[in-house]
Amino acid sequence: MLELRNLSAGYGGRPVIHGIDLDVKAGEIVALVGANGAGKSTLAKALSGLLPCLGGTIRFRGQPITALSPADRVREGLIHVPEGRQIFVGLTVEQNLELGAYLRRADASRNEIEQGLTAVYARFPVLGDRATGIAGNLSGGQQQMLAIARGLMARPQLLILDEPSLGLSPSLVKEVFQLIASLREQGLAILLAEQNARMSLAIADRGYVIENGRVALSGNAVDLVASEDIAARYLGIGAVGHAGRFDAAIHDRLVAAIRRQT
Amino acid sequence: MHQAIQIAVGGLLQGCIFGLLALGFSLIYRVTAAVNLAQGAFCIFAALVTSSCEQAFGMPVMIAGLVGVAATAALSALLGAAVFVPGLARLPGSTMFILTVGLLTILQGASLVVWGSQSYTLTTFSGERPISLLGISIPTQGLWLIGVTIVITSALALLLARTRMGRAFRACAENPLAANLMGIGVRRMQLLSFVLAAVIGGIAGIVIGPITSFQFDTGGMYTMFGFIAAVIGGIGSPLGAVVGGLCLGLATQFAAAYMSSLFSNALALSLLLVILIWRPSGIFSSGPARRQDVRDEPRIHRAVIRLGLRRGLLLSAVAAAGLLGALPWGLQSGGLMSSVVITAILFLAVIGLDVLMGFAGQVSLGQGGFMAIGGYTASILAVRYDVPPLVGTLAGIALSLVCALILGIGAMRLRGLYLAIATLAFGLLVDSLTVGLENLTGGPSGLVGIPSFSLGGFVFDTPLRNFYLIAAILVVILTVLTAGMRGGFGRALLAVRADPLAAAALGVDVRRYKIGAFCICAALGSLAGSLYGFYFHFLSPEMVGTPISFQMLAMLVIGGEGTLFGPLCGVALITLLPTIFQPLAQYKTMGSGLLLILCALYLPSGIFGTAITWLMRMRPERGGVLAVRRSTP
Ligand SMILES: Nc1ncnc2c1ncn2[C@@H]1O[C@H](COP(=O)(O)OP(=O)(O)OP(=O)(O)O)[C@@H](O)[C@H]1O
Ligand SMILES: [Mg+2]
Repeated sequence: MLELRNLSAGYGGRPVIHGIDLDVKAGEIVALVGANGAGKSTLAKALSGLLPCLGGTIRFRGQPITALSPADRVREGLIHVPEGRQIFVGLTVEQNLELGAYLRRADASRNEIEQGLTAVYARFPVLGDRATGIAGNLSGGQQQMLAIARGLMARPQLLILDEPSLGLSPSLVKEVFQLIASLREQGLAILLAEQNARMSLAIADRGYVIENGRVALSGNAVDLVASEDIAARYLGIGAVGHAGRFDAAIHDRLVAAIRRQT
Repeated sequence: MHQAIQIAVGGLLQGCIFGLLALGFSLIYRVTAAVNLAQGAFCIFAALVTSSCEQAFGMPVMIAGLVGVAATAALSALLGAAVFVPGLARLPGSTMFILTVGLLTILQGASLVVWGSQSYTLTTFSGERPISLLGISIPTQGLWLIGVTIVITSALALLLARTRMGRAFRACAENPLAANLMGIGVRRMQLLSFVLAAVIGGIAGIVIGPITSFQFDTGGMYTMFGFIAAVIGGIGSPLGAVVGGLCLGLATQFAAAYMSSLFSNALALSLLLVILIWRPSGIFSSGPARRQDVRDEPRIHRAVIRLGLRRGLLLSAVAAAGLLGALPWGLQSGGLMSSVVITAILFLAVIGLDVLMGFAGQVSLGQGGFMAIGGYTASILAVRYDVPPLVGTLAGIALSLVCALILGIGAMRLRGLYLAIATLAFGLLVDSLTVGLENLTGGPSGLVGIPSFSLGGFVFDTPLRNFYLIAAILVVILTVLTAGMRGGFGRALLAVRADPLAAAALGVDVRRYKIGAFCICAALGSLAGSLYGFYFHFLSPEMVGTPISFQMLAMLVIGGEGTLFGPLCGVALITLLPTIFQPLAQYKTMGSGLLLILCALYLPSGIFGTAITWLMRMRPERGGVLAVRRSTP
């Protein structure tokens, strides 16, 4: 469904991600794992067209979309739920959701939008209760729900979720991941960029580990969880454990410092 | 009673004018959360084109008006795509404000070049004979005006509230990034709102054209009244714009009829200040207050240049030496020497602005007002009461500080650009007082017979002596400020500028620092104003009025914000160049507007800042001494 070949993107002409190759197949959850600043969000922005590509190609459902505007990509069914929620705080919950279907409004009837709203409220009863309230007054977790729901209103084929569990309580995190898993059941493809590597690899089919803007490792989610390297670096479990993770970080920094000196 | 009704009708018409002018501000703000100060210039542009079509081609006024509106649409599309929309994508709110000042200036300058400085009027749409209704006479153009106001306001209100595009507009202002992700073409919407606002402004200008005469720089006045009406009503809402306009119109007309026409503006501005403080979001607010502080944050990209203390001393010495070096050259022609003195005085005022804008990140549109307070206080005391110049100057500074404190305490608790609006109102208020208090200030024709500055019997009566006086003051002030800005005060201000919330969380008393910076700004403006009066032996309202405030903003941005020394480049460029190249004088306004736009868009740290950055790139080993800090979050 989504194929990236040798994709580079960044800010102000300076690439932050370099030569990324990545695939998402229909009905699949793909996890993007990486440390802070690895370039996950940058990749997501390049996919949705918020950032221009500096090289490489993106194909979506067989068509090249590298040159398309964000609006055209939304029209194709590629929806990006950005990091940090980014809801319209001054508008009501329902207005937020309707804006999610902004491009559909052009051809879909009012009826279809209503159906979409009903479906969303069935899935997220909280949002239904507060439909006419100002979105900025929702709690953090509710705002995250709203952001995902707003993405669903556009009838996505592929949903890019950037840190959907950011700032949520453990029980809410679990809920969000259950939601994501249930979305796959409906045939949605999902690209999931997450700090919570353990949870995201648990529900994912495949995963990519990004380091310094490059794919360091990729494979089936099960294999990635099993790999000791990943476990030590991103999951905080396995052979090395917490202390080892700390040591690894110090070791990395020392190596980098020594390299800089010579 | 009959008279009161007649005045009310006049107020209604005036109010429709203000309301029409305000609509464009509300529309653009609604979509981009920016204020476009060039709005009034589009009104005048449309009216000027219409007038030319009428006179040169003998078109009937309606057809000529259509041409005028079409030309305005084309021009605004061009300027919007080349300047306004790119600016929105990369500039913080305060710089956007200045960018639109640049647009206003360039449009006024271009109008001056094309249409000259004479004034124009348009023919009325349907005859000169007023209609008499129950004994009250209404000019037919007034009926046109009311009709057009009603039609445009309802159309705009419907567009914003009921249509898909209206919702998209709202989304763009709320959160451009998310709007983009919803598939809304944010840049297209921004451009559309800019052009639509200009078209509305153009129609307004043409409908108003037969009622009041206009000339190349009337746009500035239209901008101010439209902006004030929009703020009174609640910027962002079309209904609010018209209600604000009507309040303003009725207030000014009744004040003019029952008090004095000279004070009608003063009353309108006091009304604005009261509303700003009592109900900051206006009578009709358009939804919850926008979190401007948060929106601005990712767009602060300006390099803030900080000079080492010793380096600062050295530079001020170099600057002083450079100025002194220019002397013998200037001595040959008295005119140039005089320009150098003017440059130095204005530099003093612009340094004040730099502390406020470059370091505290607040915009003041009222620096001219403080110059007026300083200038008139010192001059009046000297002329009428024989008070020594030094005492008068200090009295002026004291009065300015009082005004700054009142204004600052009132406006600082408000977010966003409210200080800009409050200082604009303040500047205009001072303008109307300097014109209105004729017995005290000499009114529009100015105050004459001001003595030279003197200190203990030594009279600074030649340009050269004045120059030495001001150079000495500059060296002292620059040294003190360089030290202050490098130390804790400057660091705290930078923190306040970068992120007020975070600064407050770190224990910085944000309000105190902002007000402190504003006081420094006001005191320096006042000092410059006093020196201005003593140097020219004459002071008139247009020497220290609101247009000067705008000009000083331009000088600051061109020279380089946050650099203290940079403004000298900007002041010198705009003051000296036209003196040296006399034929250029006609293009001065346009040129400074163009420079302002180019600097705001492409040289965010101004000419001086850019030069310093280049110098440092060439000598990397010196980077430690001249540290550049990029405040990219
Ligand atoms: N607007 C920007 N301008 C310049 N550089 C940026 C910008 N946004 C991010 N970067 C840089 O790009 C790199 C990748 O950032 P990105 O946001 O993609 O990381 P991430 O993997 O999403 O991290 P996190 O897990 O913390 O969200 C970082 O080094 C960051 O400093
Ligand atoms: Mg991220």
